Formats: sequence, C-alpha cells, structure tokens
Amino acid sequence: MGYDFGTNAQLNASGDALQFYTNSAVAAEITTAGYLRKYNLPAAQGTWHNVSQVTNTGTYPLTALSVNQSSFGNNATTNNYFVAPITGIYYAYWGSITGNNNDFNGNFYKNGGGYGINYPTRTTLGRASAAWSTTNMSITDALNAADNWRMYIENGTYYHGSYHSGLVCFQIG
Amino acid sequence: MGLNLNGIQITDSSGGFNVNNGSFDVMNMDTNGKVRIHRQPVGTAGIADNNAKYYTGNVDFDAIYSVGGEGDFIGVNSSTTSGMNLTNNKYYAPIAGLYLIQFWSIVYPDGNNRWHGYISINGGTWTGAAPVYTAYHYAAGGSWKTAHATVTFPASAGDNFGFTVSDSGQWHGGYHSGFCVTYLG
Repeated sequence: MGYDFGTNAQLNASGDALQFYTNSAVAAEITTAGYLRKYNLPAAQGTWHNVSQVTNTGTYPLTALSVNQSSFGNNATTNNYFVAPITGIYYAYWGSITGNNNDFNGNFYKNGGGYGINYPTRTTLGRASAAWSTTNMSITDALNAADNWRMYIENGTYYHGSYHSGLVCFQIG
Repeated sequence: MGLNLNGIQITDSSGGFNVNNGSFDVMNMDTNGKVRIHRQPVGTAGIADNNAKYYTGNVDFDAIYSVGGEGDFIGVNSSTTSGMNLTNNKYYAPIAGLYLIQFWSIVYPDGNNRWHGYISINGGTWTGAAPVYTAYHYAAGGSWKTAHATVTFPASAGDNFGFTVSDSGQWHGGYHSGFCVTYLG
C-alpha cells in the first residue's frame, strides 16, 4: 500500500496546507493549524427585495442571490429553486413574515411536490389580532444530484421583500 | 505506516485513517466511513439579562454557551482575535470559508412594539442576499412574538459577525435571545 497523490494533492507553496485539486483548482485543504476547508461547498441563498404584500399561491420568489457565494458553488436558483449539484445530505432554512393582519401557509417542496404529513415542513403564521409575524423552518434531507428544493406558498398573504425573507441552502456532507 | 507532509501526518488506523497536524488529530475516518473533524470553529452566545431593552445598535451579548471545538483555542473573551468576543459583541472568524450565522429573539406583547435588526458583517449590513432582517410585532395587546435571522457568509479570516438593532421597541434577553455561528467549510 502506498500514497501516490500525483498532482491531485500537494503541499501549497508556503507549506502550511495539504491541498486537494480537481480540474487544476484547489477543492479542499487540510492546514497545519488543523482546519479542514472545502472551497466548493455547495451553498446558496436568496432573498426577496421587493417591498410589497402578496396574496399568491405558488413558489416563493427569490429575486437576488448572493454573488459572493459563487466560489462555494452557486447552486440556486433558476426558477427560485435550489438544485443539488451532487448527491448528499443538505440543509435548508427559510424565513419570512406575514402580511399585516394576515396569515399564510408555506411548505418545502422537493422536486415539485410537498413533503408528507410526517415531515415538519409546513409552517403557518400570523392572525388578524397580531400584526407582522415571522415564521421560519429548517429541514435536512438526502438529495440526489439534480434534486431541487423550493418554498411553496400554499395559501395566504405574506410580506415582503426588503430583506425580511429568504432561503438558505447548503450541503452538509 | 503513514505519510508526513510538512507536519501533517496521515496514518492508518485499524482500517480507517487519521490526519494529525503534529499536535492533535485534525480528522479521523473509521472503518464504517464515518468522518470526524476536530477543529470546528463555532460559537454560541446569548442574552441572559431579563431587563427590558429599547436600544438600537449592536446587541449586547452577556453569556457564551459554546466556543471553539476540540483541539481548538478560539478565545472566549475579550483578549482574543478570534471566536466570540463579549467585549465587542462579535464573532471573529479564525479562518476563511463559509459560515452559518443565526440570531433569534422575542418582543414583549405590550404596547406598539416593533423591532428590526440585521446580522452585521464587519459592522455593516449584509444585504447581498438572505433574510438578514428580522422584524417583529407591531400591535398593541398582541401576543409574544419571535424573530429570527439566518445567513451564510463567505468570510475572510478576521471578519466579524454581530447583530445590530436598527429600530427597537421593547424586547429582552432572559435566555430567549441568542446568536450562533458555525463554520461550514
């Protein structure tokens, strides 16, 4: 048994990290300080900036993605989806607020369908007696490559962009 | 049997393997393929103070519940340049990479309370994307409300994360409020 890293794994120029390459780019490294870094960790987040109150059934809109996430695999989102680039375990967080004196239901959808009743993926919030409420929820699931997640508003009125609402997704492992 | 690359030692371990930096294990993989990463930058702080708060500006954390990770030496208090710093009420990233940052709190139900805040990056608003604002409650006689904000941020080493209240009604700590940072990689 031996170790033949070739050019796919080598010490960096300063000698303080063992770096792993794919396609001639550093994909991961272990530093002499003891940290493990993953340069291409699939991750993305989006938000909705428009200041408006919406009564709509359908996919929750995401109008802005973090361009700074590009080095971490900007895998969201066309059509407001997060798309898993590789098979693995993923985490998603979603948060929003209700319309004033309104309520709504939201649900994580995977590949276009909602999770079943045994999954804690539905949230509901806000009543007429209590204006402006927030809701949020998280999920982990095993996704295959090309599986997608989105937030789906099943009914009600939500408000609003202006950075109050968004979706965060990343791969755990 | 193993390999030593400038102090990074990769050794067989009964069918799995260990990665050690000469001082402590960095990573282990057992024969079932389970991987453990030892040096995991994390930090959780909270607000224990139960008094009503109305201020705007940086949230004043007064308790740390966790920091660092096994084999790590991330500082706990004000004298360090990484980890959670209670004096500055910030978390200082020890290394570059992607971080998960979360904050939560509540608002009193009395009065016309309104509460806005955002996760701040290096003292500024992180508006690149994400639910950075949290807002809660704007009605008299309503119920207790909670607020949450979560972002991921690709940080450079030394970047700091905190939470800033931009306009405030009455809210409080009382262990109902907290801040959590996790290094993702």
